[in-house]
Amino acid sequence: MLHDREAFAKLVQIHQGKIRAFLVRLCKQYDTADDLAQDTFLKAYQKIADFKGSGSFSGWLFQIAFHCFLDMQRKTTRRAQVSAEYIAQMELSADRYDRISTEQMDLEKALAQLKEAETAAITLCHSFGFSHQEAADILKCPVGTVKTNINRGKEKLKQSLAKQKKWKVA
Amino acid sequence: MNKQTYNADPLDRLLAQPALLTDNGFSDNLRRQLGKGTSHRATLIAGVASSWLLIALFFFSPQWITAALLQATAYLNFIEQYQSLSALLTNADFSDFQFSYTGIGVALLAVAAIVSLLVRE
Repeated sequence: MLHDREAFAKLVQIHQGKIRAFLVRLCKQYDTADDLAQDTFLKAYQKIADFKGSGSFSGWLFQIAFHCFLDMQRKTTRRAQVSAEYIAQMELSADRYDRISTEQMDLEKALAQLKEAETAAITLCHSFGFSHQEAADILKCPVGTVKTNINRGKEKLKQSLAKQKKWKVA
Repeated sequence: MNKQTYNADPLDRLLAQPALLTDNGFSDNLRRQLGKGTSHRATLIAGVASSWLLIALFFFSPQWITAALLQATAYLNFIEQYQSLSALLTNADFSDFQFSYTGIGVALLAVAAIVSLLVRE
């Protein structure tokens, strides 16, 4: 059992950066994201026997993380307020990241203004390399919805970044 | 994982290089949580099981307890524990049983079986 725990702790070390980055983009608060990430890994540890290896372990973790996020979202009514706090907070939180450039900070702020479904689809497919089908499995929605959310989200991102004169709108 | 590439424009390139959060003690905290959760749970369940058995020894007959324990162990998937506990309970002599060392022994073995179950889990 101790051996299992140590092995799982190594998996946590490997995946925590991505899972937490994903959750920060969704729930827009660092501390809440860390709480959700902790729930995610604890649930994964308890349900590790349920993972049959049919998909990627990473995808399974993201699926649990997204489920934790939805659970939290059902319980909160402060979404808009939290979002505003996050956008303000981003200016001060570069030290939360391993490495983050000014452009990446601008992108994080722009992502914070998207709908969660758009952020999730873009993050999974463009940032963490999942296919549309894998993202649809993680988000429990049709592939077409994932593609639509990506297209809409990217358009908004381009416009948002263009307003900051960082990017030319294609 | 996806094999698609999204490097057509600067936005795609930027999206493909997500800024990851620094660990900052997260993994260590979680490692502690993993250990703590199991040990608390094991202690709680073992305590409840012991209490249940002690109360049962005072209020019910040994035959009733034997039947209840056999029924409980039937739910366990761990054949080893089931067989050893079944053998012990079957061979035990309860003819003139009062509140005795045999009863305490059975109770302790049942608790040990439950703890062992948790540890294996």
